[in-house]
Amino acid sequence: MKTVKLMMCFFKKNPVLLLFVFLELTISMILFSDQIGELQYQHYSLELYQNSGLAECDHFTSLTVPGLTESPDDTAEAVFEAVRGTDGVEAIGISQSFTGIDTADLDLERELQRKYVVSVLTPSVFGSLPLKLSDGTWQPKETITDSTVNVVACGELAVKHRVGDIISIAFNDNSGTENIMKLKVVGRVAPPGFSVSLNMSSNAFSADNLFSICNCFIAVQTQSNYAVLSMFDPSYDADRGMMIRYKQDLDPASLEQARASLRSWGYLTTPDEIVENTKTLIRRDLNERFPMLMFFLIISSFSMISSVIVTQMKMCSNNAVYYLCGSTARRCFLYSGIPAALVGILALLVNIGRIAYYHINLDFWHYSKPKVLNGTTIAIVAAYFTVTIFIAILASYYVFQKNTPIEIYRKNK
Amino acid sequence: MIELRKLNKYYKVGKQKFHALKDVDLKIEDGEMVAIVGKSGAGKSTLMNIIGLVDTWDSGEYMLDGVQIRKNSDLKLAKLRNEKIGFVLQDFALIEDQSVLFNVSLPLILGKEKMKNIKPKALHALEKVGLADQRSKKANQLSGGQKQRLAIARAIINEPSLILADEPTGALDSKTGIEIIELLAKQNAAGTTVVIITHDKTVSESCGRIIRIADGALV
Repeated sequence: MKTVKLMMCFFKKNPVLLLFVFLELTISMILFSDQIGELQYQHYSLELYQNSGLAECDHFTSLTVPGLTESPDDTAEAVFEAVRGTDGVEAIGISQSFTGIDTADLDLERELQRKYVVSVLTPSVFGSLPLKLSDGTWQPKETITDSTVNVVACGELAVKHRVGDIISIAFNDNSGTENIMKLKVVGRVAPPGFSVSLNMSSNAFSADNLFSICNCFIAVQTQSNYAVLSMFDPSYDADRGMMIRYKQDLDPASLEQARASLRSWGYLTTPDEIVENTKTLIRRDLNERFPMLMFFLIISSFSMISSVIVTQMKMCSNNAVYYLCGSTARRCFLYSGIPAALVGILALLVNIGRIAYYHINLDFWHYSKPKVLNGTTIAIVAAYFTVTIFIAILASYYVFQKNTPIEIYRKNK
Repeated sequence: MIELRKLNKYYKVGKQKFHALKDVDLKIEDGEMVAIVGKSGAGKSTLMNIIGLVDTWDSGEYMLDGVQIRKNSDLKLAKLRNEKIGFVLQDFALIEDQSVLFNVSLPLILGKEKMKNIKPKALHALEKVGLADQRSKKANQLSGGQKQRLAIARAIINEPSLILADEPTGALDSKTGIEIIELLAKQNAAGTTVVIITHDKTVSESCGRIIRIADGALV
């Protein structure tokens, strides 16, 4: 407590400056670690994509926006059928979802009800999903005969639920009738907990567009799941995009013809293009955004170091007084050296806490993007801060050595 | 009791050695009030720095309260400064942006005193010098005389056996200066040894003994 009292003198010398420097350093590192997270995610998604069956599929989004008119041709299902009907297409992979309310919450206020999104994926393309499971399986061997859908928990739901949990949900089917369905958790997606997303509509589709952070249950449309889902016929929201697998025996000319046909009414991206687009994105971020954020971070670090030097110089007269009152020279330095490090340590703790809980996203220039913030990010942040704090203490010590308590005492006399 | 035997101190001035104190033999008994006088550069401050354990010496012996002070570790010297010696300086040596209460408490904060005992002792010391009602003010809000009284309160808070005062009235008007010397005399009457460096004849004549120093040697 007495030591804290003396260390507070350091902060009282320049409170506004030190607070400003702390905020500047914290924010610059948040932005920088976010950028590292985005780069990690881009590499992660590219690796996932290249190591999965999806690497054999084209991505397609029609130019038609389903539901704009009441025409039966203007529905998601009509688009899917049109693509399935294209010569050369063997199967398409689509993602549809519906939302249900936990039956235990039906009597509660709407805002208090737990809602679950169930994302249904077609097995022909998503049969071997590249997402790793922390436990459980995508497709259990046993067949469930009652009205239970086997699901894999993703995101926050993977933390809240265990394999074997059964959740009962209420939802409206296509006729508006309320139904009850049971979901059985058969697996949990491992961190970083991404799910498949096909909502991106782009002529520069990349691997990082394939995944998103989603707190949902994923149901692969296996035979048993299909039987249950058909029984209930939930009202789906379909992602606009889809993955297309062509027939194995298709010759190159026919393949190009099929692609040309699809390109005439939508955005089509081939696997090579997906990989190239992803690599271009990574290169662009490394060459443009990353250096800018690195520069901001370095400037903030220099601000911190210079403010520590300025404050240490202001502490010299304090040190002389402490010396006279019975402190050693070393202790005098500790009362300013430790607070000098504290500014950096606090910024580091804020960043580690943030990475650990992933609450705040201060990406002001873009909408929120998926990131992988993990042990590697923490290690990079911790290493950078350790070096900065070390330099700050060294600079503080250098100033202290130039103005030891006894020298200040003699100068003042 | 302070006892110096054949004490020598040298300073390096460029490549040359300057003999600041020459074979100083000095005895100051407990409870004395002593003035050290001499021209500028005579060695008064050097002598006081050594007595106050702020500076080291090159040869000779120093005994404080019967214990020989060897070239001890920083920690032991700091402990002695904290427990046995109080300083009162011409420029007051206060932490200007901190409160009166914080300034007077410094020796206790730096020493072994428990946190809960610090405030009552600090207030008691401030009462002795008539500054208890100023405890919340910042040191830079006090007058010169009040600052010096605060410095005295800080010097006596640990009940040291020795007070070293270097030109304590140098920055004060004569009336305030007299008040300060009276305060120091009061401490001396209570049994504390007081050593004052001064150019002021009134101050030196109010002390029980005058020690003259010239060119590093006692006259």
